[in-house]
Amino acid sequence: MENDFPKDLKYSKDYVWLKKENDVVVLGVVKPGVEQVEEFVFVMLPEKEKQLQKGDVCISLEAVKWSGEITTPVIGKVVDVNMDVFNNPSLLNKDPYKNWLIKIAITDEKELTQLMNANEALLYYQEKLNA
Amino acid sequence: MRVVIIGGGSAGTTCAFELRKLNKKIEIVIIEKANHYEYSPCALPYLINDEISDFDKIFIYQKEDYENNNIDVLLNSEVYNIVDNKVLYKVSGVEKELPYDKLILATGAKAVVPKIDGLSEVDFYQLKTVADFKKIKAGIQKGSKSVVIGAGMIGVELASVLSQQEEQVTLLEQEKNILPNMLDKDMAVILQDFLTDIKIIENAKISKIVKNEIVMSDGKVNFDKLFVCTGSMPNLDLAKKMTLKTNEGIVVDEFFQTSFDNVYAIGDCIEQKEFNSGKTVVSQLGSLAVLQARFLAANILGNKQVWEPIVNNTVSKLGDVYVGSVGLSETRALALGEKIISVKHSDFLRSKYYSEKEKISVKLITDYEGVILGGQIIAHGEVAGQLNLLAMAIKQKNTVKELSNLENCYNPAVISVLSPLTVASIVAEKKVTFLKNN
Repeated sequence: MENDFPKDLKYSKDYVWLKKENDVVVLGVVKPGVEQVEEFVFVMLPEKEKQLQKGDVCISLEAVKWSGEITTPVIGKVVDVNMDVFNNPSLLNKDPYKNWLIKIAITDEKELTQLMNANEALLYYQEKLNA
Repeated sequence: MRVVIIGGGSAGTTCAFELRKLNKKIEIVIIEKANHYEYSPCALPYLINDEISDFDKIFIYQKEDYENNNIDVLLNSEVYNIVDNKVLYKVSGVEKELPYDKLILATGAKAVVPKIDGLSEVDFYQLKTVADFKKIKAGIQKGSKSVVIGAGMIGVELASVLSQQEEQVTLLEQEKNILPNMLDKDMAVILQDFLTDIKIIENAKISKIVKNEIVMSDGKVNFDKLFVCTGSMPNLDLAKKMTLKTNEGIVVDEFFQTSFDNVYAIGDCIEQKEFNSGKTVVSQLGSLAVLQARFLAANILGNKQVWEPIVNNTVSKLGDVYVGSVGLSETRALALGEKIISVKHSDFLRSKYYSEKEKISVKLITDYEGVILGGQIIAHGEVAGQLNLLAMAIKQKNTVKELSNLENCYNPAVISVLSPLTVASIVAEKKVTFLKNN
């Protein structure tokens, strides 16, 4: 797991990575989370322009024997969704960092400072997944 | 009434026997230029690798079958014209004529020889006839560098059986993937992973052939033996001589009537409508030939049935992998301007606890309403049943919702309890719903 958390990203405790890119925050799923799922078969993405509050379910993921939801750790408006992943969910399995899920225009950049950095995320997920 | 059938292949022979089942009195004559009765051309690759060991068994009808059904067969007889409702033909150089009341052209297709600089200067094999097969079989040599040009069905099957005979096989395809008329690239990649004994070169642009070297735009390939499998086209020589209406194939209506009264055509020599696109296509499938033969036999005897557009339900076996497709591929649908949804799903073929070695991959193509347009399946097991199911679903314009609610059969030794087609249908349905609401 040691190399599973790129240094330039921020992380939530719900398997989400985030990256500030100009005026938006890009959001995806972390590799240790993806690795627990054999193959994603469906990804339900939110509508563009949807307003998200912290903790809102914004994405549903489904595999043959599993389904789960992703909650947003930031407040903002959905400005883009990755239709490549919608059309081919197995892209998430192939590279969860290259294949982002949504982009959010956030209202308060300080929310990002409350998220974990790569080292913190590594320790957190090592403990979580080894428990 | 005398019915004369030109061509004793699958279409012509099946039609003859169907006519006899429906009417015991009419005169039925098959005129065939080869020196043998009908055989199964689709079996030829499997004779090369000895999957079929007995050559004689591919001749489905024996002489006594024709005699028992009072069907006259004129072998070694080549038709050279049709004049005044008479078939003009030659036997051993002697000209003869045979009047008809109904004439059926079942003249089949011929292998295409592409225009490649230098091809005419070298020896090469094709696989279309019994003679072709015998030549290939006699030339099998372990370790021989064999290059197959063309990765359509015949090319891939040939490459597969040659590699099983331990020849070093390279397969060249000018399109972006093998089986371009059947598979999208993503499914072709899955298939290629199983064809490990074949070196596959896609996007191969051949400039010329010089002695035993194929020069491509970005490389060269040497060969000991060369096989050309670049498709086949309807045999239109006689039809054109008769001035029948032809395009890519003989033009027929929905009852297989040509542009001449009392002249019909079926099988590989005709063109016909494709179901999803409405376009006219040529399609050389044995299953279509025999089905058309049954329809035409009924039509000729007054029990008219309309021939519907086709969905090109195609299947093959390559080693221990089965591959098939039906309807539109994603590539084809997009080229036609269709807005489509596609879902690909891979799983274990049988229950995982029964066998982890055998896999299956399915791909479904639907429109935005969830109506099934096409499907592709690759599996270590029988796929024909699932393809036939999809063929019916496409023609009935069933939706993925209906397919997902199908009552499947199940046994862990046979198929997974969650049929991959069902899973793909469920996912496709979710996509349809999502796209409708967004």
